[in-house]
Amino acid sequence: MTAIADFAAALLLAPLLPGVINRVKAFFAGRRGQSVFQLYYDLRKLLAKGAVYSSASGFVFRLGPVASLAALLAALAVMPAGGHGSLASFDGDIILFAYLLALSRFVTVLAALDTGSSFEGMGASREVFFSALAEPAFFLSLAVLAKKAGAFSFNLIFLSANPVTGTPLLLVLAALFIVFLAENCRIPFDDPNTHLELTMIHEVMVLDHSGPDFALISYGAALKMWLLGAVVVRLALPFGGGTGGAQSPALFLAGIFALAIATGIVESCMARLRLLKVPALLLSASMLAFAAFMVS
Amino acid sequence: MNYFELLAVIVILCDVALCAASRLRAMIRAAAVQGAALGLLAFIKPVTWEIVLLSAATIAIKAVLFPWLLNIAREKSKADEPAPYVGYNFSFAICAAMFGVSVWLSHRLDVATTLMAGAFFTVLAGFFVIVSRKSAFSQAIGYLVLEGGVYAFGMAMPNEAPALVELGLLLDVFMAVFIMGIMVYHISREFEHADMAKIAFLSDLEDYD
Amino acid sequence: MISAAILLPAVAGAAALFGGKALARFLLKATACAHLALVLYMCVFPQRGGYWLALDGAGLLFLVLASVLFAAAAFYAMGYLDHSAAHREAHVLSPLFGTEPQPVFIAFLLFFLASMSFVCASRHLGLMWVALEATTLASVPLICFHKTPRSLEAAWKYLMICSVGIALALLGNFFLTAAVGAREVPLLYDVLRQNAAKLDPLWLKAAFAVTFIGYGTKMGLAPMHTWLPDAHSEAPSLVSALLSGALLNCAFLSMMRVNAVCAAAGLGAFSAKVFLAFGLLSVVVAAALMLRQRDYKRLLAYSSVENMGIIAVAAGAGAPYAAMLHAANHSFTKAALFLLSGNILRRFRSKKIEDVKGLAQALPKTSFLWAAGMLAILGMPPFGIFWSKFLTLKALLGSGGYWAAGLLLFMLAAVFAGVAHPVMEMLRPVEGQSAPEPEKAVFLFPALLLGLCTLLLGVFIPAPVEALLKSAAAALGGG
Repeated sequence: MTAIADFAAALLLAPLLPGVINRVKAFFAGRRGQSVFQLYYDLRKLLAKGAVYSSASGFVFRLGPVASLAALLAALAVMPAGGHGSLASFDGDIILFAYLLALSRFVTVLAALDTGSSFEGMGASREVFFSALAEPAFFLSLAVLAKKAGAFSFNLIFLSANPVTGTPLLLVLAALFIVFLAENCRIPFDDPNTHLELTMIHEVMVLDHSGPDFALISYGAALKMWLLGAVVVRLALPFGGGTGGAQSPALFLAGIFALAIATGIVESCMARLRLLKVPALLLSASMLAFAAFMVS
Repeated sequence: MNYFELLAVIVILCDVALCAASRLRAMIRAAAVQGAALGLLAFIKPVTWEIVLLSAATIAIKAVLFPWLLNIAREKSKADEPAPYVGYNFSFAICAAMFGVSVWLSHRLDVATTLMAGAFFTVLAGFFVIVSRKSAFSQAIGYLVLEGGVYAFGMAMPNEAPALVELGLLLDVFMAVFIMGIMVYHISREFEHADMAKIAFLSDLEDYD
Repeated sequence: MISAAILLPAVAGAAALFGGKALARFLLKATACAHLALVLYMCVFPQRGGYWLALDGAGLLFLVLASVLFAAAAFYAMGYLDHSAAHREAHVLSPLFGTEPQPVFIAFLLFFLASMSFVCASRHLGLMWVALEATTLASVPLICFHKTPRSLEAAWKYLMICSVGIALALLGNFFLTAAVGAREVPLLYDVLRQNAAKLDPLWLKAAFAVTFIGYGTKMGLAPMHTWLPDAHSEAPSLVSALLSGALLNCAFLSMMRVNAVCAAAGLGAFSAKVFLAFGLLSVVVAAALMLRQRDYKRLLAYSSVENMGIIAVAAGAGAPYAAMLHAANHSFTKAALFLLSGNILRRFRSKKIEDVKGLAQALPKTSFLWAAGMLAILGMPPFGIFWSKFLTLKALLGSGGYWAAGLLLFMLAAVFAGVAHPVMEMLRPVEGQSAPEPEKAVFLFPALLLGLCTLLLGVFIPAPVEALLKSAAAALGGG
């Protein structure tokens, strides 16, 4: 029951995260900024519209947003993205989780390629390149957690009586935070605000989507941020060990919004990296996770 | 939280930063941070006044004096790139491999602490920087790091080395890097660069002059 | 008393650094003589060592060698500095050391002597490491004395490669500490040997391997020899003489100290194999590079690699006496040859063999000594090297190393060809050669005396010298 509540809360609250980040950035830029509920308004507007499909694109293009969101929803089911356990859990679900995220990206990339536009193809290529570099870091981080807890399930890992602490925890958190920024296309990897720039990555891929399709994609992006953020937050905050302990939804919510604020601060303080430098940062995330694996 | 483990991890991360740095300034900074961490690591031993002295001297020399001197020399010679033979991203891969080897080594020798693996890794990273970068600066920094690895190894050992020897060692390293600094200065003045790949007059094979 | 042998040149060096030209020159001569006298005194009246410093037979032998060579080089330096002052007064050594080059050069020569004495007299292996690194640091400014691009390159290579090698040896020292474990044995070589059975063999093996690479770099064993020909050919000739004749020995001594511990711990078979392998490889590499060498100073430098290889082979073949004898012979001969090569370089202003023609006409006395020295270094009787090579081969055959002995003989033949041809070319008279210039005694006598030493060792080894060599061999004993 609590897991269902967590699931529903994630679905409801996820679009708040981009809003919070934007507000933080606006604050640092000395502006008032848009409402934190802006994404909700956008979604409502987009859903009310009709979609336009290019005659050059086929069913893959239509399938992309739906399949992508479906994969993310499935991922949300195995991720304890709240103060309690997850909706579904089995030994090995952390691997399923990683692959569901990859599947969601894969169909998005396919849809982008289906448009036949070279511009979107370029974005797809970059997306794949960077995620290929981010994936080792993510998997290594998961490996650290699995090694310590002796289990391949998020529920067991996050409720383990033997949580990751000390130096390895710091390293894994740093690695996962870098992965979080990269996967969600935030600065310093990608600038979500720059449409129509040759350097952007994620936004390029979804340029041709319109109306409800684009709503699904935007919502999916927010959900993905919630999912990956949940990994960081569950690790960083002390959710009591064992089965009992303080399984506090309030603590989790505080954590995930604090993460959003931190992301906003990072975005305000940093410029986007040169494209050539991005691999170095992602590889160093892998090194961090690797060091954590060796240390733990 | 084990602070010495944290320091060991800092040492390891500095090695990674060193191998991946594409600017001499960044390399010098990484070496300086590492020097400070190494200095604090001395307290892993039972605290005596010699250890305090060793720690203070290490921090003063490795974290303050050398970075300062190297930065002066760097600005004088207007050198900024380590000029690698091996690309930065590939250096990362080699770094990971070297780290794996060091962990294996430390397991092999039955002292599988983070610090021991870090010490081996630092020696290897210093070696790697020396052989894979053309700039005389980065070679000097590589030597400094290599020596730091040996020092870390001494700290990782459970028994005590006489502090007199440790201090003599530190003095030697100090003189070595000092002389290296002077040499780099002369080299960059004589050749107007410090790219050792281009300074190759001495050979058995070619007709030099 | 032992510490005086280190402090005397160190203090004199410091004084020379701050004194004027005349004072520095006086200090150089006086210190060289005093040091030699002191060392000979210690030969006659053995000293009781302390915790850090002690002189056993091996330390004493190499200390004597260093001191004799230094005395020869010091007197040669008088003439050299006059000449170099006359020709390149304006050279600036370093902005940090004032502008007068002579006192600085002399000071570093003295520091070099101090550090080499320090290596020979160290009883603690950690201290020995410190001293050996100090020799590198003291000799770098000597190598790039003239600040030419080539000498800068050579000095940088020398500094980098040797420092890194020595850093590895330091790692070896820590491995030794690990081998000792919690057993409270200090790193004194004699104490370690007595307690060798208690050491952890795995760590000890690792320590030997790393130390061998480290000190082997400094000793110039192939394939870690790459710095050696450059440094030896670009350094001023008297510095080359010291580097080749004295410094390489110091590295060998350090290596043998660790080896002795290994042998006492029952790892002698392993370490002997390592010595043999690297020694033979050095001889092969040196022979290959000497065959078509076009630079006579590099020729001498590769000959040093070759001879260090022979010393290592002797050590590996279980003939420490032959190794000691060869080290002594090589020191005298090679130092004499390097000093003479300085005379040739001054006259012909080129290190290329093809530029040196009619040596016998131009410098008759130098050429006589040069030819004799070359014969000596090739191992012709009646010079001492003949005997030490003979003893090495005998030990090799005695221990069943037929293939190794055959390879060694073959390579020595190659070296003979590599050396004999260019020497003949240099000596061959040419037409139109100008009349001989007067040769100054200061450039001849040091080499002559060193040459006589090696002749003496070949003809008749005096009893005290024999005793010293034997006690040195016994001190390093075992493998």
